Amino acid sequence: MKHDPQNHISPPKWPLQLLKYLLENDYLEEIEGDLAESFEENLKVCSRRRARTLYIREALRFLRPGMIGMTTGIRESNRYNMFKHYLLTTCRNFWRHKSYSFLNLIGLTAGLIAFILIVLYVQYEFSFDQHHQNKDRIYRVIKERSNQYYMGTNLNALTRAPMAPTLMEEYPEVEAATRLYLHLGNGSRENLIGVGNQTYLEKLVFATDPQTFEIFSFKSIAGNPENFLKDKFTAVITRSVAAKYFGDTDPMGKTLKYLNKHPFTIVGIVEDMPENSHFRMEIMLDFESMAVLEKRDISQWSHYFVYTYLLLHEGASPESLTAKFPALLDKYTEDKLDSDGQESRLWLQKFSDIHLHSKVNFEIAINNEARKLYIFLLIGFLILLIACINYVNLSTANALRRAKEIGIRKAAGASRRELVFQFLCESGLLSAMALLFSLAVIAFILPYFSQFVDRNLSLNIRQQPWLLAFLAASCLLVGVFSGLYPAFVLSSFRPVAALKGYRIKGKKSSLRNALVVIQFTISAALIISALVISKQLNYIRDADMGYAKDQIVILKIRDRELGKRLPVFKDELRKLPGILQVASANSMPNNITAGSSPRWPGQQEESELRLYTNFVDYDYTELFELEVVRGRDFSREFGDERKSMLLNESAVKALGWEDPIGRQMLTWADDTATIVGIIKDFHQHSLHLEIAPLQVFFKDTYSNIAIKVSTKNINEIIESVKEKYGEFSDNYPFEYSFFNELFERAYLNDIKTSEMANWFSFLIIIIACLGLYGLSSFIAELHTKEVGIRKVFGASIASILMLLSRDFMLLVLLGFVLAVPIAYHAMSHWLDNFAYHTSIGFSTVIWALLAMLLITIIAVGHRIFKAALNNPVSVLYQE
Amino acid sequence: MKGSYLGEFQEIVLLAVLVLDDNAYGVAIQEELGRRIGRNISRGALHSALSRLEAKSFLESEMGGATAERGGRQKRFYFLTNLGKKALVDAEQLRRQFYNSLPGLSLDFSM
Repeated sequence: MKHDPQNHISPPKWPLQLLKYLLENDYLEEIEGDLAESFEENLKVCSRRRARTLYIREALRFLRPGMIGMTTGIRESNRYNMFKHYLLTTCRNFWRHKSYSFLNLIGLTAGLIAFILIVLYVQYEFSFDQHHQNKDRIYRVIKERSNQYYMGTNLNALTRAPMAPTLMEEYPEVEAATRLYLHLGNGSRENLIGVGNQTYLEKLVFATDPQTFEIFSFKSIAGNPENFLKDKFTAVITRSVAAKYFGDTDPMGKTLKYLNKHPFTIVGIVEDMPENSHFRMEIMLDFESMAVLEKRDISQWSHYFVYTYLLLHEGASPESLTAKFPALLDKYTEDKLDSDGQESRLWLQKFSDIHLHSKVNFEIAINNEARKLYIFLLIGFLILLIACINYVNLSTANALRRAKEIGIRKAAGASRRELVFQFLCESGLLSAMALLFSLAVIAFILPYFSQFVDRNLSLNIRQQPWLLAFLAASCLLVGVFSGLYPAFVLSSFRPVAALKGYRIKGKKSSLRNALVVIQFTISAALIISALVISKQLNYIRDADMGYAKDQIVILKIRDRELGKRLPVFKDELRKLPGILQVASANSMPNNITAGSSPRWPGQQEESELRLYTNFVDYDYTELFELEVVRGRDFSREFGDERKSMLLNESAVKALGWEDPIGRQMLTWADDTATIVGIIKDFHQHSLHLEIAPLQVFFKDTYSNIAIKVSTKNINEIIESVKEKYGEFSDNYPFEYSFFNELFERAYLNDIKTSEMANWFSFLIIIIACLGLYGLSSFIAELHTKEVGIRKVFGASIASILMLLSRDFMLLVLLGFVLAVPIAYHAMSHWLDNFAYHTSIGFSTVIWALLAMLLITIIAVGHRIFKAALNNPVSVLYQE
Repeated sequence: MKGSYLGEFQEIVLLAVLVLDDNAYGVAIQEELGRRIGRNISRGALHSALSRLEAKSFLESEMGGATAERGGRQKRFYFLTNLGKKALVDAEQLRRQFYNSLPGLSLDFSM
């Protein structure tokens, strides 16, 4: 063959390198030659890439167990024998210094448990919505309204109904567009579904377009996905719903009744949507038929009630599509059909960003925040770091005891590299052991943890192959990270000095001290944070919200028939014993969500303000003990109050009206209403948000009922209410909750954060203390004789305690001092999430400090006391 | 018996080395086997067979014949030892004995 250096194609180099490392030299040249020859042969008949692949495959096939064993005679090789020997010495050392070893093992195990759990959770969160084939081309349309901040953001996920079809028709970038509509009957997601004689309350009922099945990846079990929801009054259900409703019989062609009234024919069954989806649908109904049922005019551009998802064509740019949106709005909404005239802009939101990177109102389900997950990861790493530091400190402190061993090894010819390798083997083995233990513990606690984070986590390696790599990597990381420094320290001993038993200088302890400081900086920062978080939670619980929270039971009435007879039902309830007051409203005072711009007769131009709006009956203000500061509240004395209304103080201030009482405003039904009273500001949302302007209209048929009950026999009272409810409605189940529990639910996230912070700081302080305990026992041992001599010369126990613990206390204090600014900064940031919050406070810091010192004394005290109380005779007489 | 036992694949490899005569080196053996058996033998599998045979002293080898297309690397040529030849004969005899003692079945080895 003609050799042309210009055109020479060489095989990849790394497979040979690998072989060189693993196989014995005798055969290498031959193998190399053979491989090169085959490669050249292959180049003649197939592509360069194919030839390379074949080459790599051939080379890797040399790595057979028999092969390596045969050619290198690995069992005879020095490396193998030395490894066996290291294993043995590791085990011996482990047992000889049991207490140190177990301290290390427990620390590393605890660190790994926390780390692995956190990674499992974070990975799960990042896996959201990743299963859709087109995920990179799917976008959601969201709306931004200038000046209209609601619940802390001015973005809104709800869009207009004609949007999806218009985009599909007029914009070439859009391959498909679909609408999702979630009927919020009575502000709740549960819808009654009837099948045969059975009824079910279902949360995940959506109305949607046929394009849904084109945009998202569904696995169809029965029916043809191309025809799903193409016909009027058809439905598609998931496998589990099919099993629940129809058992073993075939659901295809059967009907289910929406609200137990309107029949939809089942034309398809799909696999359940995975739980890591930001929205999950179980029952999908034909959108257009639903719109007819709900009397929604879907050709109108004026109402926002659907979610719009788009699939863009390959290569289409979302930015250029966004740039065209203003023109679209101009074209279709020129006569200010935009429901309240607010200037709005449309944006495209990347589908895969929704779960972790968005904060949008009226979201389908609660999202998570990427930032929070990164903080978790950081904490996981810190916990692991603290555990590794323990290992570093304990094994360098323990180095003296191994000086002889190292001296002999060196004298016998061990190179430094060999020694480093030996100590890395030790740390690696320990970390592997810790990994096994932590996996065992995790297998046991994973269900509880899953429940805590409200996710379905699993540790199944077959389903998640990445776990294997991750576990191996974390084991290696821990091994190397904790073993590397001790390995270099231990292997640096000079053999003569080590063998002669000279004191090996303790100069390295400065690094050990620095590491202890780091540990306690992290621990202190976490303790302070945990304290601040629970202080804020207490602040929330004790804060005067401006309304009463106790002894109030909330009923949810879904039955629209009962809704019409509500005043009668309320009167009946009032007659029951133990019931003090009954009121009904659109929203309870802890979460008033409706809102609109204020309007009044003779108004010159649209107001930019937004007033939260509530509709209440006569008894509402009194039942919730809302304070009226001027004028009066709704009262039966004045008969029909539909022409009256109330404002809160913030609304008066925002409107800038000197004398609001007696002024008129327009209701949502365009009637005029006279302002009759001003109520004191109360926290109508969680403390995360500022108190906002509020208008209150009168309406006594909104069907959220609040009942104030006497403290005695609450169960009996609820039983009697249930009975009464049964007389009025038999279609819908009786649902009630306690108002103070509803109130707490708004802080669920914060409560969880607090619990998490408590657990983390507990874990971290335990691990750090294990290290401190180990170090203190080492110090105590080192100073045994010194203590004996001092005692003989009359030192007091107190002075000896002082002597031995002073250094530790200083380190812990230093760590604490460093932690304060870090924790202060982080916690001020966290507290800024709340419009109303407590201060971090000097006392919190002092408490944290006391806690730290106490913990340190407990950790260090045991060993040091023992050393100080020793009888000097027993330690000195040996010499 | 274990030391001199000849596996089926090993037997074929020995035969291939015999057939190739003085051109029996890695790639050539691999191709020969591939052609006759009808599927590709991995070089790794072949290598372990060869080295095992060598360890049993059925084969001997010798380096030589570097060419440009091998990147200047030498080939390792294999030869059967007398022990190897004997092992082949023994294996063949063992089989023949079995075939001959099959009752009521006459096989025509001449094809």
